[in-house]
Amino acid sequence: MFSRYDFLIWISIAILALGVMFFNQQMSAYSGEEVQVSVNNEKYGVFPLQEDNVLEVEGVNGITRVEISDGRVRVTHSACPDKICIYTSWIHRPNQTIVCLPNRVVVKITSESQQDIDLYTN
Amino acid sequence: MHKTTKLVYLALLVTFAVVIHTIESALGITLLVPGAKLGLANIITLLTILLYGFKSGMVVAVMRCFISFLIVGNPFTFSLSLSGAVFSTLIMGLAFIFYKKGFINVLTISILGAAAHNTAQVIVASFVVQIPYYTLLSFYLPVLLLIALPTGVFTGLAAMYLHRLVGKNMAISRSMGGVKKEFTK
Repeated sequence: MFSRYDFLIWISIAILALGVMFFNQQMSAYSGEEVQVSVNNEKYGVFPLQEDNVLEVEGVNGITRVEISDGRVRVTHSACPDKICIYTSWIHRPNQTIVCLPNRVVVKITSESQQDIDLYTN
Repeated sequence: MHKTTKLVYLALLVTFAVVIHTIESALGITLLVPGAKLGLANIITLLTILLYGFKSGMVVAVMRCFISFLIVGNPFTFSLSLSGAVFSTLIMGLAFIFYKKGFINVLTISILGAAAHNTAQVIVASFVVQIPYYTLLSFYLPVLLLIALPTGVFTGLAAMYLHRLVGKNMAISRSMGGVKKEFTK
């Protein structure tokens, strides 16, 4: 009843659709994302998210150590009393932020292409 | 005799298609993502192609779109349904050639039609809607294509059984140009 051409067409449609989906998922990981660091409302620097890096940011009270690895960002060390920035842990999506209020350090991920989520609140 | 009978049956098929189209849009069944639906009117288009060939199928599909535009819908949905119907009928007519040669099944014609319908709709929608065409084509179309498989099987099965039933009707068979061998059993 079904010939092999039938199955060929069905499977090719499914593979085409799944392939494009998979390709998108792979592509979305490399979409020009950057880590924006600002101290006391002044721009400190912009760093690529895909490059592993450890930044020593000079804040108001002392040094905040920002670690970038595997396309994620976290604060490992900070000269502040409550350590909220450290407890925020890893962030990786555009518009996610780590804020250290006592030290006036804001770490934000920015992206040129993907603007699907406007803002994250913790 | 043949010509008039055929004309009457084509008119009937257009009516069925319009009714099904109207009911489906009134029910507003959406599957998983917005815009995905069963495409029940495709049953009639496919049936027409099976009975009378590609040209009549195209006539029924286009007429169905125009008349349903008068009953339900707005210019936007009309542009979507017309583009989808024309393109899917083209593809199904092409697939029908291979069906007659015995290469593929009715279900495959239906699935190809559903996939073509979705593709045409997404391309037209990307012109109309203020969403970048890349987003629509690469994120939305794959999902629609995957959904086209089960819905295509569904409409294909419906068209297949309808074709079997309708083919036994002597008047329709005569309007097709003689009783086909496959229905005389």
